Amino acid sequence: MAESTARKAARRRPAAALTAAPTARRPRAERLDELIHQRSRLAIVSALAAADRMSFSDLKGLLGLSDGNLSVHARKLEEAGYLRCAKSFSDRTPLTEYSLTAKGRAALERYLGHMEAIIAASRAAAAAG
Amino acid sequence: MELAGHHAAMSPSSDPVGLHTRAASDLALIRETMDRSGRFTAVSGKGGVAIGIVGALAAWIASRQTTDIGWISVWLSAAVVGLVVDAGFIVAKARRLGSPMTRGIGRRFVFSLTPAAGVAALLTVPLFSAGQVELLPGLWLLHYGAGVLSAGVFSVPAIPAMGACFLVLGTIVLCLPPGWGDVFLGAGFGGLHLVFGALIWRRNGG
Repeated sequence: MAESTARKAARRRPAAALTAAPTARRPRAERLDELIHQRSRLAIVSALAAADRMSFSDLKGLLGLSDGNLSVHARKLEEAGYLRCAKSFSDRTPLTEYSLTAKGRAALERYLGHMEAIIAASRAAAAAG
Repeated sequence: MELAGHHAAMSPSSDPVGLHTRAASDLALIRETMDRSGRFTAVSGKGGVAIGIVGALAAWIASRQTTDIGWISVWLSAAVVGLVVDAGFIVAKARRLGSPMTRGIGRRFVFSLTPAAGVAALLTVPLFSAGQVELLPGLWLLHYGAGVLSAGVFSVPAIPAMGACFLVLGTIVLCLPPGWGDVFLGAGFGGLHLVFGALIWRRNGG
């Protein structure tokens, strides 16, 4: 018997199992955004959704990330168009500030929808049997 | 924020139990992060737009009233409808974000807004009884603006900006001769809510 698409995807790339799962079971779990599926990046996007604009050091302190980690994750989000990075000087000290773009906000909204759908589907499955 | 502490729950998995755990963990992370970043984000833009529509309709209906009791009945009814509608939208958004209004930043937001609104409601009774109806639009706009401005400290930047606009409208209407009340109430409770509600809807996720 041919291996199902979901299983193949799960073996190749575990997170893809979410996207390849049968739509009848998880109707809203399609197209899961793997960029913010990563926990540190999800935290960065969530913080900026609430605070609108945060400096590099504030974000680092809030999330407990190292300079290197935050830089790498923020750059990935920026390259995807989810973050906007503004560099300036404050009292002759370099200041890097991040803010969420409309695309990033929409991505977080979609991701919230996916998570809620998974929880709802899981509860429905538990209630059914 | 202990991002690493949830690592096990974060491993992608196709197992339904694992998915559920992961989803719950992600929602908790979003809620905690938003709370820690210090803003009450469950203010609903959709709710603001709904109040704006109610406010604009109330201004139009109230301007057609020929008695003081008819006029104030329209505005009090609009206040109750607006409060219920907005509360519904905020509670729904707060639940979706997992940011309850009974604790944390949501509680501070409510407690900052309530006193000014309560004082306005209390002062309405003696002023109306004394026939000082022309003072009510300025009183309502100023108190609502003060409450929104205070509560806005704990929320997204659009909220304190809206509160400041209400204060400006309230100050202007108090300086004008009687007869401008419905115009300014409509501009405030209708126009400002529509504009800032749409802004929050677009920028702050619903």
